[in-house]
Amino acid sequence: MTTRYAGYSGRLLDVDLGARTWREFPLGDRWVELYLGGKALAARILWEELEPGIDPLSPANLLVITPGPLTGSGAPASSRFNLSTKNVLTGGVLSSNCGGTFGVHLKRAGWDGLIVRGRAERPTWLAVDETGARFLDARHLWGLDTEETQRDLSPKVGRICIGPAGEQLVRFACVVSGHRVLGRGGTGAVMGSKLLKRITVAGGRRHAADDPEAFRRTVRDWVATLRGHSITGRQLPRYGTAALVNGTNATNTLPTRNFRAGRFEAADEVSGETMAERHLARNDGCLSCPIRCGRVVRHAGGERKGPEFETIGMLGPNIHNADLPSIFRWNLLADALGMDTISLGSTIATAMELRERGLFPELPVSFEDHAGMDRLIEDVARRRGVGAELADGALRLAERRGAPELAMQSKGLEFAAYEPRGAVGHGLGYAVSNRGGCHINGGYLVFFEALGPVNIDPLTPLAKPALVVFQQNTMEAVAVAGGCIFTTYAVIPDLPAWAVNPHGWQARLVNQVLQLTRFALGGQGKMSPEAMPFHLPLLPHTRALASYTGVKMNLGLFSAVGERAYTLERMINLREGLLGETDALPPRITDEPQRPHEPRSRVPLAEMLPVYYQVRDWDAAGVPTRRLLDKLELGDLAEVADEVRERPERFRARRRAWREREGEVLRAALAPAREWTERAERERDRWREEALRARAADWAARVRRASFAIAPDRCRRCGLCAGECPVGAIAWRRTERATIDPAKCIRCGRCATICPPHFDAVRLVPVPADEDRSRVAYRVLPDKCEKCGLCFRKCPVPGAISWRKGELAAIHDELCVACGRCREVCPPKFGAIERVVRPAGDA
Amino acid sequence: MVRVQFASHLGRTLGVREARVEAGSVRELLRELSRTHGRPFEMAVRSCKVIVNGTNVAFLRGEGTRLADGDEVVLLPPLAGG
Repeated sequence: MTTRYAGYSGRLLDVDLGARTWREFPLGDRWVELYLGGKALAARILWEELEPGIDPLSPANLLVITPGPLTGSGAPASSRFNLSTKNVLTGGVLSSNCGGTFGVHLKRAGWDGLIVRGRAERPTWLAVDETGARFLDARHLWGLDTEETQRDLSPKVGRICIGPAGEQLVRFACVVSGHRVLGRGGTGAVMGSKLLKRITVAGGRRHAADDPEAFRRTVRDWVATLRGHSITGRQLPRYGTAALVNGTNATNTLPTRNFRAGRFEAADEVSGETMAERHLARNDGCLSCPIRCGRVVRHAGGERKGPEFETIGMLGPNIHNADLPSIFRWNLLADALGMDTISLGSTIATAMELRERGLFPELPVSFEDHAGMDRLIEDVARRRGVGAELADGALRLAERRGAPELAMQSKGLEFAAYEPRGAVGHGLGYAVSNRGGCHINGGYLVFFEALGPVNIDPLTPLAKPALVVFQQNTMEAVAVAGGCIFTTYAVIPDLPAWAVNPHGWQARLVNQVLQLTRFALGGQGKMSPEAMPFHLPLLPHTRALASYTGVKMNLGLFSAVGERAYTLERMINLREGLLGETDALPPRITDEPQRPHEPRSRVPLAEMLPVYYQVRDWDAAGVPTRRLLDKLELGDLAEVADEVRERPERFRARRRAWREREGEVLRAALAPAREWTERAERERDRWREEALRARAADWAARVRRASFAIAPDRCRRCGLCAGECPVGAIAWRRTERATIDPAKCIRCGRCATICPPHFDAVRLVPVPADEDRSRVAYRVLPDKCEKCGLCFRKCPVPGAISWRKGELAAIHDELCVACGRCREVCPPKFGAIERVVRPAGDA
Repeated sequence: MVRVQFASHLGRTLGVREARVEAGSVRELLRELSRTHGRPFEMAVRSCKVIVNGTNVAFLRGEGTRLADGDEVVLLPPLAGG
């Protein structure tokens, strides 16, 4: 089974770390049409392959990494990839999205995704290429931070890795890819529990668009739209997401002192404007992104990555801190250690409030005193002292200390940096989000209610459930496609918004569209004409998808993909025992008005939730109806849905059992991780040498099975390979790309090692079995060798032959690529080198 | 005197991030600011929200919203992040 659609390879790489084996997991047309890729495809795979009730940190958990169909296509802001697994904080589903280059390289290596199962026996580096996966030694990397872990990698490979926090199974440890992060829900801890330190991927495959001309046009127009819009063309490039500090502060949505207020008196000190004025060196962005919202700041004598709004909010106002450079420092520290800054900041704020109430007297920091923060962050990552308690996240910390209501979370995942009592629809999003208290998965309603270009009363529950549903489906669909959700901010064109009367025609139109949304999304492929204005901005996504992949795509189908992804993830959550009662918020958010003079400044969740279920076509308990599942072509899930409806207690018990066992599972998984850390401190140098030797041997083994070709689109005509080729098999002129003459080539691999990493033009092409040299060896015949050293000097592989004046030459089999150059150059009158073929089974 | 904050790129357009203005209503305030900052302000403010003491004036009395001494006004261009 494979797929006819362009941009896909029709296969995922399915790896078992325990058995050190891999196989191809086929991807057919039907799944491409229904799920496209990204989190939707990953959710389907989790539904099929994940055993319900297992602990997220047990070997039975899966990591499913899936780029979207547009990933690496050249469409704007489309370098994104998704990682789905079981959520370490909530026990439900987790999908995390990242703009690093891993997904682009995975596509180039000819894989539509990567599934990782099991637990490795020792710290492992998984290296993926077009020919499959290799299991390399990572013992020497264990214990290193994320920067050190990536230091030896060439820029041509995609990578993800974990830091010490992931190894120590911190429940909010993240996975890092370059400077970008898969932040939420403990992805890093899942990798850590598998003793998987890093994954690299490299490949040279190019995908061609189904309709290149239409795709090129769509991309051109789309980029122009993004550049022209005031959000994606001005705010995000100039101030980054940090511009939201002043915006949220003005609209009572900036969480302050553990979500006790929505305004912070010194907000401007930590704002994006202040950062731009005093610290900004330049902006930065993901591959193929015209928005470039990333920050590079001058800090500690160098240019370093600056913080995002979420980080500023959680490590600034929410812990009552107005010192921007300290946030820079903690942000870099958390990245290096591999921790989610949102959960970290929220957990520390919870701890501070516990201390205020006398429930955590030994905490070394408080809302007024941040002197011990650096030390505390290190301690959290390494599970030392009080840090060990914080490493389990805000909810578990507050439960242990007897005040679970102080943890600002939903389902166990801490809220992001928006105070929901200033934008109540955003609060509904936190409550229902499949990931837990997440702003993106919750539909990011604060954009409509407080920050974006329309005026919708932030405190009314009216129309909010429908708007949440609409936004969630849209953002899911965009993420599934491989696009950045920031591209949806050009959804609403710049309007003279301040003058718009909320009772005027524009507001009426929006509300009317909302009423129609459900109907519009109902008919797959059919769009209600009335709903068109609201969907129009999604046109570039659907056009790009249709022209790039050839999959039939329109606005209705596109929204349906989002709805399908969301419903599938909901079903996984239900199966894991996260039933309707976990669509909840802490009493502070639902019961206590944020501002005493404004009684509406609380989230009326009980009022909105039933309407939300209704709009979603879920029953009163929050379970998708059979009708909805059939409509979304998820009919085969209905059996489980019925079971949840009829015997909810069984599923609740499953979740309870997980929570009761989780400490035990954690301790069991932590023991080997800690032992490897201790051993690495003593034996790192020796292990590094071993790993380097093993890498060289691994390279030799690959060269023995490969022939070489130069990718014309990557060759930059530098001529290095032609100069280095020992047999003159490479033709090159300054004006022409290099080409390899297969008749002359001896397959020594010299060209592939010499081609500069950023060109990466020489590809390894697997050879047929009869040309495989895996069992060929060359030996020096001691009685014939005249010790001239010619073979040593002519060998194209450094280290494969050793020789010293007056001594016999020796061939080192593990580094030898069996090219036979030595035998060729050995003078015929000596004939001192012999070719032998080892019998099968002899390693 | 009300304190006005020009958020995000509005501040950059005008070259200042804050101003103190004598005005009795939002209408007067905008007129006064148009007078001082001219055309660039008029163009930019069209897509901005006017927030008085944390509340969008669209949910008060729009341009007719009264301003008192010490009120804090934020002119907020559309923002997003995540």
